[in-house]
Amino acid sequence: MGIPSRMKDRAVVLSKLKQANYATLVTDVNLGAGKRFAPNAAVFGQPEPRYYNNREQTMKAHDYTTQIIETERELAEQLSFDGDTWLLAWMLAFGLGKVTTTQPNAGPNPTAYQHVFRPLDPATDGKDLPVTTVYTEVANVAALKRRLHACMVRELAIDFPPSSVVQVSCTLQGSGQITTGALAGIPALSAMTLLKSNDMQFFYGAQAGPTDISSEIVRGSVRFGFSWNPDDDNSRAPGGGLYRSRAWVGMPSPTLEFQRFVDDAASTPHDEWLAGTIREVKIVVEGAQIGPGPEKHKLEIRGLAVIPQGVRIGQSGDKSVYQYTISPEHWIKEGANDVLTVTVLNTESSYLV
Amino acid sequence: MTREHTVAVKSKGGSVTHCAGDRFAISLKSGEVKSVWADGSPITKSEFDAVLAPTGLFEIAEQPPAKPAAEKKGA
Repeated sequence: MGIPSRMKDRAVVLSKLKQANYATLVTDVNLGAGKRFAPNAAVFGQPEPRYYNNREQTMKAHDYTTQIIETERELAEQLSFDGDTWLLAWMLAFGLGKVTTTQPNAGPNPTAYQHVFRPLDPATDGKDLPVTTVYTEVANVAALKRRLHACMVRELAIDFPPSSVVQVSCTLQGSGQITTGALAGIPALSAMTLLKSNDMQFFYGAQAGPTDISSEIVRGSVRFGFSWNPDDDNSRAPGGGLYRSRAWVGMPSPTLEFQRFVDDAASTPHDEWLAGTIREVKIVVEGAQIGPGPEKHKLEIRGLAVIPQGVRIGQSGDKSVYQYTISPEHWIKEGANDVLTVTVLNTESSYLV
Repeated sequence: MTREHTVAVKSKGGSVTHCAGDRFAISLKSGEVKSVWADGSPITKSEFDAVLAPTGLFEIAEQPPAKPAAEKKGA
């Protein structure tokens, strides 16, 4: 046996399509039409069996375990990628659960598509998150080439590290079931259309009219996250055997944090926090132009009604630095208005359908 | 048991795709009319009101009139 080789053969193939239901996988043909990526970092999930054993009978019928039976199986994966606009949209589609796609400039620029993602509304849209089939090759051996059944994006995070490109990461939760075997016609590695952290514009202030405070943002401090906290307790229905059989949403948890330079003679964030002032926050990052333009690859995260916690954490030079934290309970639902929308522009014609 | 009122829908302008949760999905080209979701189930009026109408991008399309029953030959 030689020295272990590099991991060049690992791959993830993602389909924009959702499964029709928990039992019906995305077909190999459709997976082959998907996108192949090599994650920057990955904890490829191993199927994790859970067992019953009879060790409780120690000092009774027998002293050692005599029987082990598998009762459940889990599978989770953690993936991190550079911020390609297709990948961003994919994670948001399966993480938030609802998307509306239009062509903002169909005639002159038919390859530009705008996807508006929202957390699904359990009251009207149903409480099941869409799930998809994910193909992974952990290494170039048959047993580690497998389709992960019924995966949802359990949680996602978008980071804006300084001097770099946007970073996206997610935790996938599958039903626990896998099918091994190589995917025939596996696509070539996808070219990535990346968004740069330094191109971020940060808006904050009055609702419907936030102002550009980009120059006051401490670079590298912005981080957005979302999770539906899926209902694990009820993810397995009787008759489901070893595997999960549904992905009900739980409590929605959007989070946003950032740090802001504030003039040392001002206490605005502190005062706003104590007053409970409702604000709007919007992050916009534009990238390469799509086709003839003027549309560009884009990410826009918008919190329409938030009450951030603003805590002075120190100072840098003659400026105070405030840590803004918008925790899940500080995203406000006002009537029928949206709480959170995330918009992505790219060249994919649809997600989920 | 009452039968739910079903509708046909079209986009208010341009192509539009909407998907919500694991069940509701529809993709319409400009001018296209559909009366079923992507999974083949009919679109009910209450589903239209709850799922599609809030987007502001869909409207109910006039359904073509039902064909009259064929006349009996030699009657």
